[in-house]
Amino acid sequence: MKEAELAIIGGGPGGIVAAIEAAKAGVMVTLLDENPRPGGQIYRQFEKGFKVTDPEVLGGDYEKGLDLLNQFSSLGDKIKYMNNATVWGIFDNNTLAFARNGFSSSLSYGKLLVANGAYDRPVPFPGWTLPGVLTAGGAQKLVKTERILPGKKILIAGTGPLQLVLAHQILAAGGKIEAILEAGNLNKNWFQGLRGIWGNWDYLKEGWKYLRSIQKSGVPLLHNHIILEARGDGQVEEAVFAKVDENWRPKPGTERTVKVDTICSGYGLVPSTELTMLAECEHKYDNLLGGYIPVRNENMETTVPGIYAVGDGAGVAGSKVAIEQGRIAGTAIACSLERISKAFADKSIKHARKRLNRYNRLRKVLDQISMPRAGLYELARDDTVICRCEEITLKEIKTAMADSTTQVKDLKRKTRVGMGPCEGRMCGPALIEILRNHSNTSPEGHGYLNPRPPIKPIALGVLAAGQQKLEI
Amino acid sequence: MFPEEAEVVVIGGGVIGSSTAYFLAQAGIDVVLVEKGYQSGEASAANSAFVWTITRKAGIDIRLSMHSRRLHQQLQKELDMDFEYVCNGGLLVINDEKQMSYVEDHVRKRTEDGFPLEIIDAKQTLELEPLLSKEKTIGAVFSPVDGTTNPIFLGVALNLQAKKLGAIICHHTEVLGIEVMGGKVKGVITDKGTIKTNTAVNAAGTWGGAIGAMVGLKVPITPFQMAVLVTEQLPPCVSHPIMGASYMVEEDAGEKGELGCGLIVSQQTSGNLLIGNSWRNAGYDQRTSQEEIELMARVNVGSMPSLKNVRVIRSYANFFPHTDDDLPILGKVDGIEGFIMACGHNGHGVGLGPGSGKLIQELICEGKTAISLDELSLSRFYSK
Repeated sequence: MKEAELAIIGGGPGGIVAAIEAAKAGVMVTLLDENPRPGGQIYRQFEKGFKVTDPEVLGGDYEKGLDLLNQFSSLGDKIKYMNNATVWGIFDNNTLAFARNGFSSSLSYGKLLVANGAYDRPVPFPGWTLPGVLTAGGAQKLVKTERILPGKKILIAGTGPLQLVLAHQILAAGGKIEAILEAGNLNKNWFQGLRGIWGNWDYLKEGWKYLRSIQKSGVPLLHNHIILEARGDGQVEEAVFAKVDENWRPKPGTERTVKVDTICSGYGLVPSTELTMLAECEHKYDNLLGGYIPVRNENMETTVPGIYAVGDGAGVAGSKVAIEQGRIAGTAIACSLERISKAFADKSIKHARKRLNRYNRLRKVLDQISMPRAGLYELARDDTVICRCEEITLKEIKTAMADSTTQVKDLKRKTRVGMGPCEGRMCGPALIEILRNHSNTSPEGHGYLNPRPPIKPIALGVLAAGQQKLEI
Repeated sequence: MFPEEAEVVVIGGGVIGSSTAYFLAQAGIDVVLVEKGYQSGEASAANSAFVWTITRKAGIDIRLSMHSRRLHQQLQKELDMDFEYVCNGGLLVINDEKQMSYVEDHVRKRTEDGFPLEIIDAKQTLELEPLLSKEKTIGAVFSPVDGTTNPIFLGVALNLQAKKLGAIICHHTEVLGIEVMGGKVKGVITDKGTIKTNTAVNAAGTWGGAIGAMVGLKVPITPFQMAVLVTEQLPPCVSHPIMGASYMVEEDAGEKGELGCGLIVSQQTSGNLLIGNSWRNAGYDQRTSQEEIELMARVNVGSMPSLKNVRVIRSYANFFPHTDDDLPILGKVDGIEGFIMACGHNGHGVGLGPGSGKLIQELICEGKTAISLDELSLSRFYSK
């Protein structure tokens, strides 16, 4: 007998919706969430003491999220919700290990759904390690959760709709933005893509809302511009940026400088795939979806039977896609556990599949605009640190590459890149691109850094407490 | 360009193969090293990074260890790249009377053989390593010649230097067979092509048996898993390689297949602590289990309580090549001219690697070795 009929890792929209669908069909669910409250990044709830007086600051998704969270909590007899639980490994015999309240424990499961989300794509450029440079996601967390503005004079530099959302939130909270640099060209491509995205009114309305709010504020939104360098003495004081061509390579003579104290770098997200990789699911490289993602069938099941993956962690596509994927996976799991018939399952996810197809069409358009181009990973100079944990510079990586090192994991061996506490989450995506630019080959040819348990830092005392607990 | 021929082909790019290739290149031999993965890919990367002699037994075992330890010092001077070899002395920590009597016997035998060791009391031990548990520690064996290294960097440094001396290193090249004609080695067949040679060195570690089988040899090497935890980087806090005496007692007590664990802690130059080790018979499974990760944490926090807030950032495991007498297989084999064994180092490959490489080079170039290899021949398993 397994302790959890279905274990879900991650309490964002994908995980929550899957839990709701499975629990409604009678499946006993255990959901492990690293956060104190369900909702994930998008429906991030506040610490006690904060009160939401202006939902506008939080973005339109927040209100929709509240409905889902209410449904989720009303199914409390079927869903065991465990907050502050850090899953640190997946092992044989359908067990996973997690740390919670100072103990390490294990949980055996019948089916597993990984809805681990994504993290900000780290992009190394000269000066990116200066205090004052933060990721768009980090800035958003400050504004949304802690109600703190990241700085006084802010430059937003990156690509894609997420940075429009951030700008909108900073402005709504009373912040001052010097400029928004968009490496792609949202205007041109957005409207060109319209034909392909007919019917996605929700998405379009939302994007339009953010774009309008920025236009009204008078903050310059510069298309085809990229940040080249952050400068300052111990703290960001100015940023150098330039116009770029379609490959995001700077056009000579277009460099400009702007005085800022904060730079929010937002080049989209990278899927968190440590757990599906650890579970030995097959992964493929997909440029449009953020890098390596687990290979899945139409029911969101990975190549390891019984392990499913949904949401940004299985390919960055936003909360709406995560919700539909969660619906499909939750229903398919209930069906495979024989709680609902195949016919009933097919019928109930028919609409989800349709919506998913529609969203995917839109995503394709948006992704084609914001997908990182070759020039992005050419910004680093020889003395730019690529691996922040181990302080490995581009020059050291190039030296290793010149000595016929073509595998990411071989680079790790030779230079210590990716050996720090972040286990390569920060430098891994850049390493793949640097190797690719260097040798003109497909990213698959270079492999990826193999995650090893614990996939997040866990104190020895917490791990040691695990065994003691088992003996009680 | 893939090499078509070589005087010597070394099979295996771990510390032993890399040392062999380096010393051969230094002696002016035209050598090619082939490795199925990358340099220091297997047990040479995933170990406790000790250069260690305390637990080595009287006889050939300690002679080989001391010889190799001197070569680590020599390499530190010879190689251009620093591989973070630090020799502050090592500690074998004693926790109870049973361990004490076992260790006293070991020290007596070693002293009789001319390799004395010193037992220090609890106070002296805690002065050397203040993080050790005051309650548990009753003493230790201290050896001034022991230390730690960075085994991955040692491999990188050996390969770099060997290349400078003209060696050809072929990574991601898998050996598929060995050509033998009239009882003599004629070539090494790989997935990239065949290299004509009269001499092949089997430095394939745990895979030494599979390479041996290609020339019809039965090599009694089995994989044995050893796991290690890596912590976040800390300021200097552990200055010696530390091993629990339980490791020695239990190792000898048998029960080798079951999961076991002893105190092992050392600090790398980078600041990371390497904590271990658990051992179990897991075939060629390289993954670490929850059970062994938690066991290692419990055993080591028990011996060093103040480590409990230090965070583990990953674990790794590898299989060391196990032989029944805990000794490597080095030297020529009967019946196949030009086939030389250099594997089966039982988890001591990093420590014994440079010594083994040098001895094999001497065997190939001069026909005689600084230490007799008679007791280490493959035939010892069949002559009894």
